[in-house]
Amino acid sequence: MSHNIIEINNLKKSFKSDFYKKPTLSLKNISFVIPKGKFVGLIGPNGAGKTTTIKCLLEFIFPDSGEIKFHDNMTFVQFKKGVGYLPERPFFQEFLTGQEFLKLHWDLSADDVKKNHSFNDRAEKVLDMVKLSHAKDKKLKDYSKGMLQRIGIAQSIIAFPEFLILDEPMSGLDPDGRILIKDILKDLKKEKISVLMSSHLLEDIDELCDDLIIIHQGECLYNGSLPDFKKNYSNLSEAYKAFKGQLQVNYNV
Amino acid sequence: MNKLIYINTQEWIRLKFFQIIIFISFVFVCFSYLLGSLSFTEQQRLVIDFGLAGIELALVFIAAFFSTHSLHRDIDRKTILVLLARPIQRWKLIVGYFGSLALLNLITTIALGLTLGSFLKESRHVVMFVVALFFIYIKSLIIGAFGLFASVVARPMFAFVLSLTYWLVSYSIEDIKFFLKKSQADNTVLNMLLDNFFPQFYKYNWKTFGFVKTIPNLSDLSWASVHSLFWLTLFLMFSMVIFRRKEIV
Repeated sequence: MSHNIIEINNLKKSFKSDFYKKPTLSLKNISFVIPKGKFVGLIGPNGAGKTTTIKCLLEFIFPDSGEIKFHDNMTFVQFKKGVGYLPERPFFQEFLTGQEFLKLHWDLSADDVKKNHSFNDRAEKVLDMVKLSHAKDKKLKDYSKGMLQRIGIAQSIIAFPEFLILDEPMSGLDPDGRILIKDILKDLKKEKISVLMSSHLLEDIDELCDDLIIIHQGECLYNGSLPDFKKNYSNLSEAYKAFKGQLQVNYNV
Repeated sequence: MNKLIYINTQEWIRLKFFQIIIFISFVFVCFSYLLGSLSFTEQQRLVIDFGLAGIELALVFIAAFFSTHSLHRDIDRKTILVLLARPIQRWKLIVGYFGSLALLNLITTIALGLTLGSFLKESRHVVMFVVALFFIYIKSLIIGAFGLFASVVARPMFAFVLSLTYWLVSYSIEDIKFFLKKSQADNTVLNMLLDNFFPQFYKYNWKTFGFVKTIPNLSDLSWASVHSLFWLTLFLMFSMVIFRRKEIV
């Protein structure tokens, strides 16, 4: 366990759309590990259970069964001190400026981080990293979608996280925006932060990730090294196509 | 937690809806002065009765609306997700919402209270006028806490209507009991519900000129304070406990 930041075993989650309806099983049997310091990609079709898994991980929702173990047997509250999170389609308090928004999240961070570091220095560094230093005094309502995504990344890394969860960080961005976000994520990779990134964009996963998790219809079909997954193919897209083809043969999905 | 209170308050003060409520209440309170000037003998009574009623309506409306919509607003916009991912316990978010409601209503009470207070002719009425204002404020907080509790388990509009109904029933317990008695049916359960599930607002309905010109009765004031504190704490505790396991889908 010590070399894994998170270990998930047999996670199951069902939802009821109405109290008189039968619950539908969204996560059937999810088990995977996220090794320390690795950049892990989480892929799967729409409705596969990627966001549901992330929500279980962050206790926005509660699994029906299964267990989530954090490294060094940490409790969830202890674990959250070292977590940064960027939601899918972020919407933030638009009346705040970029700097004020970061200050809000700094103030809500763990006390030891606030005690040992100065907000101004850290904010300057992360704003520089996400290339938003020029817009730090602008209100968030005046930010473009790409800028919002970048300030979202800035809030997720402001408190020196050990583990970063990024839910579709590049969805809906134009090519320039994607390149910029990818560059930021490459910088983060150099800092050896553990990252779990869900995405539909196989190209980005291929370029950034060390490990891969494939979820399909609420089940984890692959959890392992990305180079191993694509070793017989030229890129991840080819390997994924072949994997899906094999699935259709084996399970008729 | 202070940061959450500050952010929520800042957000609601910027809302047009809140500004409109404050404006209407201000007009209402000023109107009480005009109404008072129509009378030769009961000027102060009209000003105080009408003005205090206006302040209570405004505070209860703000409390019910704010408490039932603030949590859902954050859930619908998903701004709550990044907050929940921070190392803070969930109950602190509830305290954050409640704290900002308390602050908003305090600002409103002071602003409207000063406006109405400037129409008072006799300075000896000031103390009880402030006491009346204080209990109006506390009642609005109880409705706010109830609204927060209702919004954790129900949709915001339903919770809003429920909160206003709760406020109305809490004032009408005596009248309802009277009609129940007249109906001659078995009312044991209903009487028990009215006695135990509603704060007894009718027992300290002090927004009248009659109260403002009396000498304070300490035992009544203490009972009203303890009674209010009990209901306030109860609803806040319920909200926190239920919100601990609420799924943010």
